[in-house]
Amino acid sequence: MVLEKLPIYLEKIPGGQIVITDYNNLLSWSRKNSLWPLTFGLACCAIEMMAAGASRYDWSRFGFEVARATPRQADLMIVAGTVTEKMEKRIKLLWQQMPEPKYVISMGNCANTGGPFYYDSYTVVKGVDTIIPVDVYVPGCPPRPEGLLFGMIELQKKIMAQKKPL
Amino acid sequence: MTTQEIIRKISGRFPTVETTIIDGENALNVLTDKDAIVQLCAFIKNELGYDYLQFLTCIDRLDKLEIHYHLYAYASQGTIIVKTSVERVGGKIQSVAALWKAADWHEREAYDLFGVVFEGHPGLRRILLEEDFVGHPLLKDFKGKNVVVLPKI
Amino acid sequence: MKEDSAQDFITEEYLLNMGPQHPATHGVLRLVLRMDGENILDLVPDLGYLHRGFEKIAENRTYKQFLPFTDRLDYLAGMFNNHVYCLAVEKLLKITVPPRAEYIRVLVSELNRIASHLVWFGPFAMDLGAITPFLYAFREREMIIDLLESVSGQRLTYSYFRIGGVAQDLPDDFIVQAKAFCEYFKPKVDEYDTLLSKNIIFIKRTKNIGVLPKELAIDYGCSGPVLRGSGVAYDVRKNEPYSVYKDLSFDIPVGTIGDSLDRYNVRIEEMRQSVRIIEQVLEKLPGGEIMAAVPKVVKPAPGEAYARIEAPRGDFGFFIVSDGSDKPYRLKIRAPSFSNLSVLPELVKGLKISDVLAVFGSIDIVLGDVDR
Repeated sequence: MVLEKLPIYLEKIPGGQIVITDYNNLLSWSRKNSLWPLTFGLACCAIEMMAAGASRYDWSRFGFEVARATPRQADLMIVAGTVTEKMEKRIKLLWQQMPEPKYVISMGNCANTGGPFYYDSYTVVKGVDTIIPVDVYVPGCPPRPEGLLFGMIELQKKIMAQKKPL
Repeated sequence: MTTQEIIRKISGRFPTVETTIIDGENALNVLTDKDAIVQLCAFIKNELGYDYLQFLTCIDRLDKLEIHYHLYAYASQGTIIVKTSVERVGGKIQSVAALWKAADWHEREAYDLFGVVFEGHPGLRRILLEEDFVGHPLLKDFKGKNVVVLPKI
Repeated sequence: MKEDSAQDFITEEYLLNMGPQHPATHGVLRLVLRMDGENILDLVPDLGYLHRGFEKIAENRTYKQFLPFTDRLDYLAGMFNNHVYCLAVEKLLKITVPPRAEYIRVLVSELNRIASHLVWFGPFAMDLGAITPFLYAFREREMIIDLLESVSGQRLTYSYFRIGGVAQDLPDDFIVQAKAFCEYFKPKVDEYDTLLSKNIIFIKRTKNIGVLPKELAIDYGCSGPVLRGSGVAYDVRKNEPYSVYKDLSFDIPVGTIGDSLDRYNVRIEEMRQSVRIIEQVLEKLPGGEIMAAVPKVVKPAPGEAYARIEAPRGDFGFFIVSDGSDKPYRLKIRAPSFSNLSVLPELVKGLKISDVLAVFGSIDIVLGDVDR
């Protein structure tokens, strides 16, 4: 299925075939098919993230096989849960430790805009995009695992559409 | 022992406290002054056997701060609620952390959110908020920096 | 020769930070460990990374508006949070819940208890290095979530209870599917036994690790499986029954010495007892209404009430002070994980770094509960 998205020119030669494609497209395609998420569950959305990684809504069939615990070896940060002011500095530090190219998915209403704790809470940060740049927002409280998978596939489409990936 | 015996024992030892029974449950309220809190709690724990401190909390009554201690006894399955009050700003009270180790973190939380200083506590510092947070949030007149108040519809 | 090499080998203590972002802390908790090589000298937990200010928010919401917030406290056991909040408000209002609603409450609560224990079981095994039980536990959990979704519409934060009853009645095929689930689940718990409980590596990593004596457990205010693992046979469902638990028969598993293996066995046995309770409720479910007559604007008389239940993590309580208006004057949440976590520094003295995870996982905390 995903091979179709890569624009290629196929030439048949005796003994096989040659695939000719653009260098940028090949780089984007290989990047999007093997994004490694950083396990960064903060609150209730983390449980739905674990369910998305478990056997029913398996996310490893899209390439997110290896979930790393250290930011140095991950390239996708899924912020799942409420961000408080005490946690703000640490999120910024973790994001800075990730090597380029890096992507951020904001999962759940709390990470998008502050969620149900927008009013009257004295510690909740009103959205993680006030701290780090976000690529895809997944709404829901908590979003279903299918919603998170949809957000991840949208991110893959966004990576594929990058003009100059390097 | 029944509730009446407990009331007799407490009133006999501490004549200045008031006791009231809560209807329908094996529970009673004990109202006391803040200076006698440690002796009263020691008596309730050691003589009457109330070994489980469920929680302690403060209520902001705008002219004073009420402090409630919810105590429970596993042997007799009864509850005693000890109530006392301190000043709103700069209130000080003796700590009961030496009697129940559970009081350690609960008193730190009460200090963090209300500003009550517990004297004799082994290491009183903020527990839920950051070290440099200014103010005590659960007081009724707390104005936070980025608090958005729910608009009235 | 030997004396020289001993003097060259200087050691000193160091501080190790199991930071807020860690795969095994089950949330954002920071543990600062003072170490000497691999031995632990001291442990200081640093909380508050998920403190969202529920108690302050409650003072500005009506009683009915605060109900969806209670799901987000102990997010693995959403039904229990709703239950204890409704119990406290119903105590203030002095209304009784109809019997069918009580039975439905117990039914969904016990299903949620099994789901919560499964989420504990999977990551606990994963922390110790066994990845397979995680997938098995989540497979069973998905079946329970399907049942609860057909009742309430949500997978995790249900908000199914209402003050005075439950939101809507059970669907038509719920009883049949729940009975089928019970039949399916009973051999699965034995499967977990063969996967993990009798594994020699697992037993060596948890036996006699993190021993909690009875008096210390009571002194620190521990409750739930942590207390029962240490030998105190106390369960709020048996000793201070609420709802319809006094009409149901079930056993309370109790441990002996209070090590991590005891707490593990207590929870596995609790899953079996929960299945027993569910089967009894499915037999005895009466007809009738599901909601008591509650006024449109909930304004209890001035007073205070404290209600407590047996949540999967321990003794969960809500203390509400009302001043006669439609918003609570003070709402205090007595969270079980807060007191259970305070005993952790005592348990890890003298252990090695890899034992911390076995002890910490067996206490089973949820950060939404600790920090509120």
